[in-house]
Amino acid sequence: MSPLLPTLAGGLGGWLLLGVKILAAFGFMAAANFVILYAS
Amino acid sequence: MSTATRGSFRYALDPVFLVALAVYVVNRALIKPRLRDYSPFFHGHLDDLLLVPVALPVFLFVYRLLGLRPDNAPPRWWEVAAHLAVWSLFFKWFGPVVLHQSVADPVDLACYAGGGLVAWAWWQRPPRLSARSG
Repeated sequence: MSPLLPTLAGGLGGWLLLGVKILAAFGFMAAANFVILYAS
Repeated sequence: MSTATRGSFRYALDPVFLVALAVYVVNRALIKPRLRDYSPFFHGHLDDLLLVPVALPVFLFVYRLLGLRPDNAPPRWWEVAAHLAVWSLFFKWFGPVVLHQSVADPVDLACYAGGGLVAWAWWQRPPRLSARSG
């Protein structure tokens, strides 16, 4: 197996994880903003 | 400036957050129900002034949990400004225009910014000598 494959997979996994984290942050922000809007 | 020289932000244990939260709770539970007439300050502007000091530490704590915030430094000016921009758009455009919830009052934007500026200035204060190690 090429040593490049694990490196590529690791890099892709890192970017994927970052994307999931950013999506989670936007999801939290949207949910919290709706809570603030309707609670005030 | 490093986190060590700026001190460590404590999020939900931050004194600015705790005082602002206490003011919000007292206003909501004790003051507003006892007012006979509508008060622009207690029914509106006070909550807007408290938006940044109450909400921003919670948001930043979640970003820190997610690993998107690299350290526990006090809120940076651009973190305050970015959230002010998002909240201004959400609460004063999206809320009133799209959701028909809340009203678009420019004074509210000034209150968001004023509360945010005061909170940010407080967060930038140097740490007390007794809190430093060594």
